[in-house]
Amino acid sequence: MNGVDGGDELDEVRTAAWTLIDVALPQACLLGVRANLQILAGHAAVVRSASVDEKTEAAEVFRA
Amino acid sequence: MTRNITDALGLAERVREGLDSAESIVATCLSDIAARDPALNCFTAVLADQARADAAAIDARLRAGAPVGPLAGVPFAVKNLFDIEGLTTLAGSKILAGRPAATRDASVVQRLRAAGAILVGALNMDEFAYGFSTENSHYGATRNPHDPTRIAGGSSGGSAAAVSAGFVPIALGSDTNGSIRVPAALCGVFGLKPTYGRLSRAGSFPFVDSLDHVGPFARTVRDLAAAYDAMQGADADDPACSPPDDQPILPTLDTTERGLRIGILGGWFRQGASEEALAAVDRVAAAFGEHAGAAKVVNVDLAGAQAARSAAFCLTGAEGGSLHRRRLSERPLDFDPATRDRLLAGLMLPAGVLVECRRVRRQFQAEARALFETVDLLLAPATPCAAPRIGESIVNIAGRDTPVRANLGLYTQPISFIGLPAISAPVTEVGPLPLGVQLIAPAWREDRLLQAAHWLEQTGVTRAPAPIA
Repeated sequence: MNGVDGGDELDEVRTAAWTLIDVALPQACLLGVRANLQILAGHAAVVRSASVDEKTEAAEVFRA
Repeated sequence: MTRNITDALGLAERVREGLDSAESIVATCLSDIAARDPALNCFTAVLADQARADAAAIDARLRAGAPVGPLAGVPFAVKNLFDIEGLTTLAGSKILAGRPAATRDASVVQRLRAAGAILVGALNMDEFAYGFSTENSHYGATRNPHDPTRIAGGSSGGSAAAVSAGFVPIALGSDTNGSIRVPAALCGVFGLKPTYGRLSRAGSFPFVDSLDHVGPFARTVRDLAAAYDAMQGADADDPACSPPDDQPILPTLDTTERGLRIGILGGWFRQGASEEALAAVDRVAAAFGEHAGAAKVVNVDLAGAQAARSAAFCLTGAEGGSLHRRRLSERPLDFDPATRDRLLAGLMLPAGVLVECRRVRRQFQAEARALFETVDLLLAPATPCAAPRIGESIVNIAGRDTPVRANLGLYTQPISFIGLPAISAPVTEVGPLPLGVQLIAPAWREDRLLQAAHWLEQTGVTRAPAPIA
């Protein structure tokens, strides 16, 4: 996810998209995907910072 | 003529008493749709012949003295992601248009028809339910009946607009992140998103299985409750549909719990909202405060709402992308560009993020459960603003430029993320355009939700504005 902010971000998106769906996509689509990846990266960061410590959760699971 | 078909239960009573015929009601409905829908674009298919035949069958049963259901002769229409026997299920897409026609109705459609309601058509939506505006690149934008230059909201925009315009008194939609509550608010009608697992989704095209709900729109809480009652019941065809009980609400609608504890959600639910949206919440809160049943109104918070909304955002992209992976690979250029780009981005999310999203969901569920130990109902805006103009990508809300597409579900997403039942109710006297508030109840307490909404409607604080001529 961090790669989308780098200098070769569009190439990274293109590579990722081809890996996923094995099809050539127009440049406009790649720009749209990149914009959406940036939005998702922001949301993923919020999720990550809010998620409880997994060891705590594991302990709760075992207690239950 | 159109004013005659806005009250579902009133129509059904007239049909049962022989004061009106189902055939004449359907004829009025169909001619109204033919005359006015081209300007609003609510419908993607009108089932005129089938509707006339169904109406004739209801009238024949009545003439024979046979029983008819509680919604006898009431026209209704459904978002075009519900299967309708004989019609291809589009889910707002071009890609599915070449598929064979459905061989049976979706479960909730079957149940409404079994109650005597008459299906008149399929309704426009955002492609694959991924959007809040119903600006569909294949089938055109649905226009808001209260200002046709504005969006109807989405993704069940055709459903909300069809009820708002007075074409049908009942419509069905689906809600994954707010797709019933957002268009209901922007079009000025009532919309119910029941508890996750309450109503069957069998025969509806999925979007995000762990977040998908279906529910009704109506112009009154009585009609909303009647439609909801007719659709209740477990369904083996939807594994998620396993309600603890059937809960007929219409007979109990006039019951008002005394001493209700109402929590006004602050924090996340008041940030980024327009003055009008906040005024709507405050107007409803004030009405509860003056409630003869001694409701107690308190300010409360759900601290995990922002994280819940972000997690819903990620989960939606990833699950939705996964569902459409093959179609994205084979026919990427046949998608609505906005939908395609979001689905592809969702597919690229690392699996670890999804693990954390599910963890955040459990945390937020626990927080909401604890809050409902202290309050009976929660109150929040349904949308941050009234309907934006068609084509508008940025709106200025409270002095800040805000992207429309990402933010109309700001306050609905955290609630559907944990499956709580919620109603969007249209609030009167808060501005020139419709605005709604969300009433939110603990899981499986649709009874409390609808009773409170009905009480508010009786006070005049919430009411669907009259259809535009």
